[in-house]
Amino acid sequence: MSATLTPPPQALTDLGQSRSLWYYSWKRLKRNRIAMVGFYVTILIILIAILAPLLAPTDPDVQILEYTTKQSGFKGNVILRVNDIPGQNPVPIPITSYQVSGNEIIMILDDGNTKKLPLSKLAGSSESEWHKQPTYVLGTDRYGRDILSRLIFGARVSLTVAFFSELLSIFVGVILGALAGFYRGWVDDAISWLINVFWSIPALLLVISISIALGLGFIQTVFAIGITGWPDMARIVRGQFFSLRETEYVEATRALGLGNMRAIFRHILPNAIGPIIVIATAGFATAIIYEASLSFLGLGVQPPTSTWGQMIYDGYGYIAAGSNWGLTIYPALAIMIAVFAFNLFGDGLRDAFDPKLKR
Amino acid sequence: MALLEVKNLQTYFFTDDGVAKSVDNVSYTVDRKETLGVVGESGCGKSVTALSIMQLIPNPPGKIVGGEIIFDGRDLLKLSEEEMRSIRGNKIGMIFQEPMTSLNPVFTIGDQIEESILLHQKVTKEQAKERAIDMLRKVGIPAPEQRYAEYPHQLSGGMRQRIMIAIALSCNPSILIADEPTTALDVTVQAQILELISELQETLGMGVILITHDLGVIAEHADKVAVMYASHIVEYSSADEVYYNPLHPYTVGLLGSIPKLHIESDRLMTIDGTVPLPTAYPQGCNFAARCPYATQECLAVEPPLVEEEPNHWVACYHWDEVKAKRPEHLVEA
Repeated sequence: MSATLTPPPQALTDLGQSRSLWYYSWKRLKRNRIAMVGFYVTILIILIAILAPLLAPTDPDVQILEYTTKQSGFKGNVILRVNDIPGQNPVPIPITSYQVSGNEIIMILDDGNTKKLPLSKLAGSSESEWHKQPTYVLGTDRYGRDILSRLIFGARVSLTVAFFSELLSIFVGVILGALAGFYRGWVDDAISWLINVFWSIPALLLVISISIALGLGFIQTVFAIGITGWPDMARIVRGQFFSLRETEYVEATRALGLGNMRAIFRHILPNAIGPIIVIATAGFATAIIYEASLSFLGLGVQPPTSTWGQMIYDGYGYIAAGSNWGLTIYPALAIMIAVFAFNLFGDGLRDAFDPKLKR
Repeated sequence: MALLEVKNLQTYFFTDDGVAKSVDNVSYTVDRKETLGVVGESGCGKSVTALSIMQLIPNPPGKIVGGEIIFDGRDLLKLSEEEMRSIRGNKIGMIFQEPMTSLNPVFTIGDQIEESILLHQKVTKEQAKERAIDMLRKVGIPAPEQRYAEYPHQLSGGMRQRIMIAIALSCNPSILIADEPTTALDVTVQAQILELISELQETLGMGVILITHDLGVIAEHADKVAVMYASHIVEYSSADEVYYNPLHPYTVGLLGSIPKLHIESDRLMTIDGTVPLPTAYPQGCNFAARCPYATQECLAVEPPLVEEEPNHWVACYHWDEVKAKRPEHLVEA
């Protein structure tokens, strides 16, 4: 018997561009409208966080005590004076009107009194620089700070804390999960035991305990949330490795003389990337909630940095008082939208990476 | 001295149900340009022998408890894991039964061929790529430059097996172990793949261990045959000898169960009974319970593999009786 090895004509072998599994996953994701809404909202929130200084109408930390708890749509009218402390932001003086005479400015203040100031004390040389009439779209809080600006800057804190804590979770979870799933035996026993210990403690309680133990601040918050989140990741990765290590292509890597580390990180891990991304997205949403919870309890990133959790805490008394409910509702809505968007996106990713839905 | 010499290999699996002697006292040799066919039914130990040579037996529960594997003058069983890794995929290549799942779905064909080349040979990335494309051409993949950048899911089963062969041969090994390389493929593709292995063997001058349960494949491609039954080699000789002068009752049974075009018969020959469990082999000959020639002696003491005729080893006390009584049509050419 003689078999032919002559290649078929070129026309039959021209199959077009080759495409990776990523391409097909992305295609599947694009078809899922709800997930794409989640995706775009996620992108929007990330953009807002990055571009916060450009987007925020005013400085989020500047207090104007005359403007406390104003309703949304309030229009301010301020003159900016150079701060006596060098290097600090200009001090706003709320006014009703002003006029320039000579090298002095005469301002009528909110309470009807007049105040004079030399022009040299004003921040900037042209009128548009030292006279501002900001519109407080969402009103102000009890220190007279712009809620919208604080919400926009709050997105930064929420996202950076969530991002870095999730990065920590992924790093620890993937490595421990991979080792447990690949080596099994006592390695798996030890790591699984650790996972169970972490799981036996209510997550929020664990986050709170760790951040109290470590002290307050950005890095401590990231660490507390990250170290609480890794067991979820580790368990999924472990499960993936359990099944993937038995596949023929992993066995084949050994027949080719490749080492264990190469098999783990180069051959198995990329095949487990789908579930890892899905869990990471879900973990991201959870981390936002934890960060907000910590801030709400006063244990997270510290004032005056604006965070959503802190804004809820600052404002929730006003709901009971029957006024300025926006102080609590707006940051709560921001958290809700962010978490919802991440979850929608995560669900969409799970479907997109599911090989059973191959089309 | 032969290139690869397996001597009295014993690979046991220590399971909860007892010790499974999956490979017991197996010996065979393979030389350059020679094809050894290892034939036997599922679970007879033919794959475990091959994995033992590569030292890829999952441990625990498996362990090589005895014997020697002499390759190129060195006993592989005495090498460190590090040294063994430089032999796997480099000096000894292996291809598996399941081409559909033996390639990593997330890497391109080219990546996977190059990986082994880059690992074992001192070459640059460009040279490795050149070699990978050259290998693709050698295994008869059309448009190799284009296939190089494709993913496994874009290829058919036969193509993927060709890729597996390309990977296994990319470092120019002196031994290729083909573990049921065609079982998962269509009959027409099977023939092409085996023909390809034979051709490459001729040009590259390597020894091939062809593991299969298909006697037709063995007849077509093997120079020597080792017939395995229940962890032992029961018959070992040249392919012609085993086909035309079978001396073991199991071999006779196997050959009798193949339908023959020129012999009219209502029923095919069958072998009564079933294979004993590897954890509960009998004291004497493992085949005795199914053997029409069995005597008290067979049940008491295991028959050794003896060279009863020149270059023809058989593990049976009654081989001369088998020779006299075996159905004549089996030995007709």
